[in-house]
Amino acid sequence: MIEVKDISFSYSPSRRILGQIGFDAGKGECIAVLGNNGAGKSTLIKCLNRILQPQGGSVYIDGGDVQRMKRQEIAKRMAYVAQKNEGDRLTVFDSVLLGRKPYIKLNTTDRDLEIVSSIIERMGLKEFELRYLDELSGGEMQKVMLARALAQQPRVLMLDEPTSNLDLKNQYEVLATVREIAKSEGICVIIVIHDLNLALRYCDRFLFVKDSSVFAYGGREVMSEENIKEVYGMDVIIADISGVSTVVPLPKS
Amino acid sequence: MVTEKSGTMGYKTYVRFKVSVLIVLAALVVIVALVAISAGSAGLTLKEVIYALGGRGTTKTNTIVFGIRLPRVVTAIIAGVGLASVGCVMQSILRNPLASDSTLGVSQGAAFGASFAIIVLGAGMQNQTLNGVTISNPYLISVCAFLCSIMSTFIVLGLSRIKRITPEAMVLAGVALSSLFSGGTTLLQYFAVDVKLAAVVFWTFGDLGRTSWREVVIMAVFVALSFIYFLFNRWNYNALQSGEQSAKGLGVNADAMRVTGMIICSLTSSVIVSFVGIINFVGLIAPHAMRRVVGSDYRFLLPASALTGTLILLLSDTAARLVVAPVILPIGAITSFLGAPIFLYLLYKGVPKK
Repeated sequence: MIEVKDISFSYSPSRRILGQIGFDAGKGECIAVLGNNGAGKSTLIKCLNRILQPQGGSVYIDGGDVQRMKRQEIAKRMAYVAQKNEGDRLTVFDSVLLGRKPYIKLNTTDRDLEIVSSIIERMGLKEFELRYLDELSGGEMQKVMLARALAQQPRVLMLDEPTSNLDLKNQYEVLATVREIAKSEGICVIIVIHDLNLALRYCDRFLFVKDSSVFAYGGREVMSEENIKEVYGMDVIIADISGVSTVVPLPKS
Repeated sequence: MVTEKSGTMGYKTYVRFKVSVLIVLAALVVIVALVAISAGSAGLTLKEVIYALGGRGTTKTNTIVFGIRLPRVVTAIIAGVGLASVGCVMQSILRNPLASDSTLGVSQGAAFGASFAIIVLGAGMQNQTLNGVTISNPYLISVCAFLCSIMSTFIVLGLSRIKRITPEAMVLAGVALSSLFSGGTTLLQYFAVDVKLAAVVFWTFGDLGRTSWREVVIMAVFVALSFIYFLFNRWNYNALQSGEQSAKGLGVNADAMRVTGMIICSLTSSVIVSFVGIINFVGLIAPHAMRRVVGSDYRFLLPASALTGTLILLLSDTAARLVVAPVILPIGAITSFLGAPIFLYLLYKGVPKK
């Protein structure tokens, strides 16, 4: 579904952020992008849909070259949820309706309204739909942004640290919803995430980024104590707690 | 009410409320415009005004309505739509609630350009025999006003792009540029001969009564074209409020939108300013007042702000003509008197979201 080949990006010749990054992912898969702060994880997903213009490499969605697509066409295939979202004075409904922007010609159609209404219902936002964004909590806001991205009816959904401002319950709720949507709609989800345990629980494949390159990419097997130590410089054990694989940091010896 | 909440009914009801706000505002504009045409020393009644507009007026009422009052009222409507929509759009594309032509140095740039045209290039002077001011070349003034206002725009845009300065810093940059252009204008005035100085002072007062039908048409063309462009991009302005990266993710070419928008805003406001002088704060007051009523959805905020801008100018101009009649106060002073309390109100309430 998505094929990333040799993506490279730098802000200046002396400051390389990404070098020759490549991976692929299929329909309904959840990919966790992992690595230290400043490793280039957020930059990577912004390069995929050309929010940042990569200096080299290519991205293909169902065989179509993203570099050759107009921004509007990209937005129909790839949706992006930023790490920080601003609570402007739009209602929840209008904000989710904005997700239909790539499809709107002059005005919204009844179909646009119906799509938005069903997504709002599905995300449990019905009771807030006429409330302004600047009146919402962090968790509600994150759900609205997710709903807006889903209104784009994308093939690939990219989330930049979607749980960073959420409490424990909302972290699990949001990621469970994302996973459920990915599986039922066949959307490929790429999530930049710091919490290894959330990644382990909700993601199918893991992309470790280190020193501007892919350190390891694969299924559950790459989420190993050795790889985590190499990437994060920390000793951990992966223990089975109540049937759930859990990463436990070890105290420094 | 329970059935209205199901599906999209609740939202459609909410949209109908916003549409009704626009209808009420439009009706108010018509009423206030008719009152503005009738108000004055000639003592016209509303009935006489309506008869004249319907082509059944007397020679006297026709002369007053079509020769004096109507150009003034139409100018107020056009300038109100232009200045308010420009402020409204600037606040979105710069993502700054305090952005407007008067807070980003655009008006002051235009004033400097106009002063330069009058004093250095000889585009106008005081007419000694008639004891009035003659603007001999209003188009030269417009071009100079535009060039200087666009210069101010590009400096603010350049800073925001190159150094990635914050929205607050952009307003500070605008304040600095305003100061620079005001200083330049003062220097030009200091070295000007008195007849040209009088022309500059007259020009900067802000006056809706100096436009002829020809100038009204020129302004109308610019304002109509820019307003259509703004309306066409209403979804893009909504998207830009979520931040540049989110907007790009929604398919908006944010960089091009910003540059094109700022050029069109500068062009529109400088054309208005060059014909009617400096009228501050309309671009700030109208969008902020309407944000509290219809929210930040540009589908409704743009027309609501435009109508409110028109109302503000019509009311201010009518007040300027009547308060100490027969003396006509400069409308720029009236809108500035309104603007200062609004700024204080914003500080008191906290700067509202874009």
